[in-house]
Amino acid sequence: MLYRVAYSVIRNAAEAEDIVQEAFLRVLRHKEKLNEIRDARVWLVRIAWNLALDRKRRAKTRPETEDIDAHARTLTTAERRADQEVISSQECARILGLIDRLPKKEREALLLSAVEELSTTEIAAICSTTESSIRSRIFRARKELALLLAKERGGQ
Amino acid sequence: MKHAFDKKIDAVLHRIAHVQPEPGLEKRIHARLERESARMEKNPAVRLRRFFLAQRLAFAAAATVAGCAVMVVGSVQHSRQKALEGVAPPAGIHLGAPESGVGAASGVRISPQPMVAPENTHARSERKVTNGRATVLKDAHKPTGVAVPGSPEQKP
Repeated sequence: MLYRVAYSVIRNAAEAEDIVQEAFLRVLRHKEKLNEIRDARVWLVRIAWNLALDRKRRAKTRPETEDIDAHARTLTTAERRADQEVISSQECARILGLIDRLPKKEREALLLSAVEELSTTEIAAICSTTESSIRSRIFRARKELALLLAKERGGQ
Repeated sequence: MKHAFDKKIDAVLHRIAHVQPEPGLEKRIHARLERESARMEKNPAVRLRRFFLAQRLAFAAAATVAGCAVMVVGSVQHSRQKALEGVAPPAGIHLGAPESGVGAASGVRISPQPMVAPENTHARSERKVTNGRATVLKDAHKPTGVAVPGSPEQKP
């Protein structure tokens, strides 16, 4: 799950793995505080999430090395076929680019909602907000994304 | 059209949600954690930090006690200083008026010896009060050459 959280932001397999390792290293460094943590799962995801956001911010200065296709290796043949029926890799990259253009709060809520293991309550805890706020952010993000897609189609 | 966009968005999110790390991520994380843990054990700064963290309650208590002791000693010293200032200073010492802000001229001067009144002293004039008015007697001692106007009541 941590890997997917990191990957949703950074979209690079090697960097996502590095973030997961870094998250566990942080846990090791702060193991004295483990007793004070209420929800270790959320805490861990939050560490990975913040690390990924940090790296993304720093990576803005260098060329992006997204490899959304890399995951295809790990999908089953049926999954891959079903996936490709709906969307091509190019289109996927284009939509991910549009997701990056969304406002920060909406983008974060949408990306975290993609990680199926996370409940709305947990996403709210990671973003330090309420569940209803997360729901409305996801709704707004999808609406905005659909609008951007429609604009792109109109422009083509 | 809107439905198609939603489908595409879902497909992108699905791709993110089902991304898998390269096999053996757990092993790699475990190896890195062990490496880091061994490095931390060797680092004296980390050991020192751990020692202070473990004993932080004792250190906090000691610091509180030390703070209280400093406050008590300071207070006692201050009281003693005040008590010493309250004792009359030796004769002949000029006491300024530090709190009034007035200069040395208005300060209290204590005579080094008791003042003794001269033996053959008498008033320079004797006054008799009649009807609320002072009357200077004619035989009153006056320095020579000082003209004293006569009382209107004594006029013939």
